[in-house]
Amino acid sequence: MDILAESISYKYFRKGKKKEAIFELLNISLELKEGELTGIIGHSGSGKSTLLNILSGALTPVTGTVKTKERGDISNGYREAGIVTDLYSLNDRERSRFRNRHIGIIPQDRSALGHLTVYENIILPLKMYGEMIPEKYTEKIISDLGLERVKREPAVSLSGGEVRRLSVARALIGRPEIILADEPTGDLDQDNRRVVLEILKQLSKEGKTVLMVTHDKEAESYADRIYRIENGAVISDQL
Amino acid sequence: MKFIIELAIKNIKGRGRRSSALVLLTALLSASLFGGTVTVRSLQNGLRSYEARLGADIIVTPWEAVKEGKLESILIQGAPGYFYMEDSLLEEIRQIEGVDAISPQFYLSSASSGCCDTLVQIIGFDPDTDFSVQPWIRESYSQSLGDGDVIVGWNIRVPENRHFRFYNVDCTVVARLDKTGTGLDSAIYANMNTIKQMMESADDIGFTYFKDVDVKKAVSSILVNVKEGYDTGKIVSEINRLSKDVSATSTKDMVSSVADGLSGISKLVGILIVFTWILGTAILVVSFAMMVNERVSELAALRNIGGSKAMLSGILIAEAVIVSFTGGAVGTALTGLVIITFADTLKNSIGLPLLLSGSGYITIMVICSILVSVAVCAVTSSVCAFRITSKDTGLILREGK
Repeated sequence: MDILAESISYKYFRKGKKKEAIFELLNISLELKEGELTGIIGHSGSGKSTLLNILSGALTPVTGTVKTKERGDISNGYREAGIVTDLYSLNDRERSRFRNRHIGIIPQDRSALGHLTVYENIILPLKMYGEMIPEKYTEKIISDLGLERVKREPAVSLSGGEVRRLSVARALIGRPEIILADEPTGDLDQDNRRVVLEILKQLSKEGKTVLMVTHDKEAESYADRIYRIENGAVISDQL
Repeated sequence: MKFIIELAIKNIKGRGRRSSALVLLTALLSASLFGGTVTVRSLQNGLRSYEARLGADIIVTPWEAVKEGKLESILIQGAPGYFYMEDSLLEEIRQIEGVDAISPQFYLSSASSGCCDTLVQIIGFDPDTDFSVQPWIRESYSQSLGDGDVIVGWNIRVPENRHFRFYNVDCTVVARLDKTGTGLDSAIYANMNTIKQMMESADDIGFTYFKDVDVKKAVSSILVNVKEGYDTGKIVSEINRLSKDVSATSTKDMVSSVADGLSGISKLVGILIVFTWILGTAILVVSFAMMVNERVSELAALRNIGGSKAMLSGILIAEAVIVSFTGGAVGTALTGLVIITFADTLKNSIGLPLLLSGSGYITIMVICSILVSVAVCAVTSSVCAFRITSKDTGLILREGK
């Protein structure tokens, strides 16, 4: 599933200053392709996370569209036209369901539900819409991310790195076609950084659309395509 | 829906202290509403019951009894007491124009010594002339009360052999009266012959109840009914002119003095309920707002994994409803227990008749109190939930940071 973002702009107002609009993103267009690990790099405050939130359907842009496009079925020997979904033409319920089913988000901040166990946090996206829990797959993710030891612990007791790995596991549990990761290697030690990056790389090889917003030089080296953002605009796009 | 409720319950359990504080607050709110309304209603019932049990237009008692508030003490609080005057007034009152019927009553307090089984108020009436006691005694005992027979008030403990002995006079309990919420629940009723026998026996034993009054001619009060069309106030004045040692009081005045006390208490309870609810609701608004602000990243996480705005609002509202329902149930249950346990203490401390309402009214009030608590919490949390979920997730996170 590809993501096509066209002419995305986003502005916000400083708290208490309704007339002072600051453009965070200005007329950005980009394409995230199925089977590719795309990196977005840039300085702090350049608008990387805002762009990721817009691509996930969590932040409505001032202008522009975000569309997802399925590649289509080739089982009949020819490719059928894929379904195009305009994320912001969906209502909240539809967009939320779409996000749950097709997009896995690894957020930048500590975003676990502290009083739930690690396991309960990981399966939350499936429980949310009453879906079956694939126990073997869940155990594999937990094992791959080195979370077996803390599986039954409440998330509040985890270290920053463990929460980050929990976020990765939760993003992958629903086998989404799109993975959007905001600083996925933040808080992680060298070994776990590699584990997470390898997982993201492997996912892209399996045909997933993976986007990674990062500062990490090592992470950049895993990307198939890199967009560099500065002052709210894409200044380079390199393969 | 299943997910929303499951997660709401886990959230409540996971935040034990905060949830307990909210349960306590909603318990306090429902307790104030339930306790306040049931108490006022019970006082109103007591007043109606008191008015009904007086059963006469005028009560004539010795002046001393009025001065010391002995009659109210017997009738409302059930404190055993006695006072006497000569029965010569009976004929004089009967002669007053406008008097329809009169009947004497006798109040005797049993003693705690060996001649009596228990300390109670004994009330005697003349079966031939009585118009005040017998109509409601008949609700529990349809036959006429024979010599040596007694009927007990609701609060009196009856021994297994159904026999009492007062001033060495043996009595048999033949019936128990319904609860009135007044002092009459702690009294025993006997006919004139039985109580006269007790009074004379008490005098013989040496109890100095009767002072200057001849025990054979002693009566405690005279109940008077006024003919229709006659002014009760004028007849009260005429009776008071007959003797400076007695006092005639219109029962309406007696009831209205009790009603005045009740009205003051009702206002006070009303003000307390309103004040508690205003304060409680304000605390709830602040608590929910703080709770939502603290949980910004948790709510954003739920949005990220596909939770819709309606789902998030549902979780927050479900938490509020579960907490307030629990608080409401705890508050009404504990208050109900306190009211039932301390009803008599409350009655005695405020000096007003108090008759608890029936189970139907109590059930309705329990449901209403819980529903109001739940509704207030649900609305309050909805407002907070709407405030947070009306924004984009990205914006919530940015503001949270």
